[in-house]
Amino acid sequence: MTRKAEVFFRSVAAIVGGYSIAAVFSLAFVPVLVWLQWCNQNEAVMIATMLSYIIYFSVIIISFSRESTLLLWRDIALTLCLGCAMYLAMGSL
Amino acid sequence: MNPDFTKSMIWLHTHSGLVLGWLLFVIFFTGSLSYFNPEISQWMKPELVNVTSTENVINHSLKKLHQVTVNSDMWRINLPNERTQHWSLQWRNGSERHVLSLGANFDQVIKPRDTYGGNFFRKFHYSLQLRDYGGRYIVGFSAMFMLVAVFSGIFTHRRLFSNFFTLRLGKLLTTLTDFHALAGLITIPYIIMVCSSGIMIYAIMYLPFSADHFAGGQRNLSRALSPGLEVIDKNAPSQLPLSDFTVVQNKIEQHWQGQNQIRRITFEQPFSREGRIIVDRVKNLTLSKQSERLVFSSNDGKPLQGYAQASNAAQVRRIFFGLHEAQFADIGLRWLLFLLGLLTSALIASGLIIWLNKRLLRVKQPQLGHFVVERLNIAVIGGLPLATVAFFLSNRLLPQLLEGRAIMEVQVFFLTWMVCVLVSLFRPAKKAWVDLLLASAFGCYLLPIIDLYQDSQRMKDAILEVNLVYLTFALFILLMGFVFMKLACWLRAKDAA
Amino acid sequence: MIISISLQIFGLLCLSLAMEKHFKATFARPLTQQLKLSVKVLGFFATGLSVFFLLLLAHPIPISIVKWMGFLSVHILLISLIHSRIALKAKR
Repeated sequence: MTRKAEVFFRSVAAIVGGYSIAAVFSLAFVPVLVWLQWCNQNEAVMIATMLSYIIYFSVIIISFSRESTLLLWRDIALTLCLGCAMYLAMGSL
Repeated sequence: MNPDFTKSMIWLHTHSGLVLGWLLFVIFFTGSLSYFNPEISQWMKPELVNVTSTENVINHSLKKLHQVTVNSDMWRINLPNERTQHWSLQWRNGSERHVLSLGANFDQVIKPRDTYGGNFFRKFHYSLQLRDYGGRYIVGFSAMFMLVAVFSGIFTHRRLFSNFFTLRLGKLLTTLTDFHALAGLITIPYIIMVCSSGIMIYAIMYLPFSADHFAGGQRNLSRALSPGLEVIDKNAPSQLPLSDFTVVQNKIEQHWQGQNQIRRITFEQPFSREGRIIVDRVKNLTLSKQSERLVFSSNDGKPLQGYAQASNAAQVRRIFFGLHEAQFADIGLRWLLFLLGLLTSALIASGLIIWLNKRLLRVKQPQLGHFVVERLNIAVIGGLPLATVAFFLSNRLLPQLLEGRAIMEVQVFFLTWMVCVLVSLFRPAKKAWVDLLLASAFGCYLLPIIDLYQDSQRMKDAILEVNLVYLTFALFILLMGFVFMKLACWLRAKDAA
Repeated sequence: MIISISLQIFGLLCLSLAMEKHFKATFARPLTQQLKLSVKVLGFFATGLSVFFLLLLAHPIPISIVKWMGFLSVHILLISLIHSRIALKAKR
């Protein structure tokens, strides 16, 4: 892969991938918080959304520091799937 | 892309800083000015007179409101303080809104000139005048960028941690690099605080999915998290609101110790029997954006059920909001935060200049990229202060009764900035820097002179009444003029050498 | 608040002098191991005392913490400027 393409794919991973992971996290973490009975659902929405920015930030940093772009995208896809699965599993509880 | 973590962080620092550096400079610069929003507004409306010492402000306001309004849906009394010097009444009939500014004597109505005042900087800071075109998203995105740039900057400038407290003076580039690293280091807590709290203000707006899915939208969520008061029955029998506030005042004093604790008084449906008074406390006691509130009946001043406790999550968000706006800060802390904001702007500016100079040293023939960066540096870093000064100048020079005056001031701001872009394009780099700096210095010196020439009474009043806001503004502008001039002379001398 | 702030700058000054480079430039003699240790301890003690006074006397505490952090930044900048001035003079 040329350097330009690599930078492009990493930037997309950081910005779009990070945003999607943050969005999925903000959805998936709400049922967890409610299930743990730490707070009610509305509060959980707020807390999950606030925490998802930390996730976003870490994804950005990881995107630019992982050695392989391919592995990076694999991890992002896996994390997204995991988040969706968690959301579905917790939702059916 | 680099096997080494530090190396990839250096790459990230260089590029993340470069891509949005100019935007970040603009945001931080205008944001720092916004710390003094009421003070700047006060200076830009010299028609306001000293009203803080007026006795019995609340009862005078009530009398006035009783005189001028009939059957309003809402009354509001904004009490003056040292920062605003603005005593204003607002009322609303249906969707019709009215504002009235009062002078020191009862019945003296003031018409301050039409201007956005310091609010222009605040609005520009968070929406870039592009509120309808996603300006707030751009600003939030750049805040994230800034956090990334700071984090990667820690790894880029690691050398500084072993050379703490060191600033090598002498060569331009080493001094700048050391300054950049040092300023970055000491502003880390400030930047993290400001950027994260800035993102948190619109946290739900940037990531609305969870709120939409679970709570049915942003509005419903905030309503559920921080519940408001009950809706007033519109068909309740009517009754005149009270005209003597002493009853309520005495009750407030039992709750809130200390002098001048009231910031704002709102009457909701004052002409209804169900009407109520909401009293907001001053903000300098809590980090939270929401100060304490008390609720009374608007007919007899009996205490009513107050606001329900907001949930923890909402309170955390309010603290983020409050930290960002720093309404709690007394004058010392305000200056401190202002200086830290300017230091951050200087940090960004120095970073951009270092990027360019390092590369110009290395290459023999400057390329298009270098040219663009150089011109943008001049146009943004040199142009923004000049545009700000022009904004202030236009406030004094535009005729007072001009139609659409407030918008014209903003147009002057942007026109000046455009001129700066042109100057940066058509002049050699060093000369353009010197030109813009000298023009800023000249504008800064001109400002107090024009002010004195137009109406020397203002300055006399300010001195006699010890209006520190007015005096400090004049002094600070003069100081800035001096700084700009020194910088220009220094650059020019460097040029000759 | 004033006590806390002055203790803070004193502590930072001590800590900066515990670094060989700055000590040498300021007093024109090398820093002995024992002196270094004592200055360092004094610096940390003063900074700690500053935090203690802040929590004890200042009110309200959250706002004071913001203030303390702000002064921390400005004081580091100030001390760095002083040291760089001294270093520049020493060079000449």
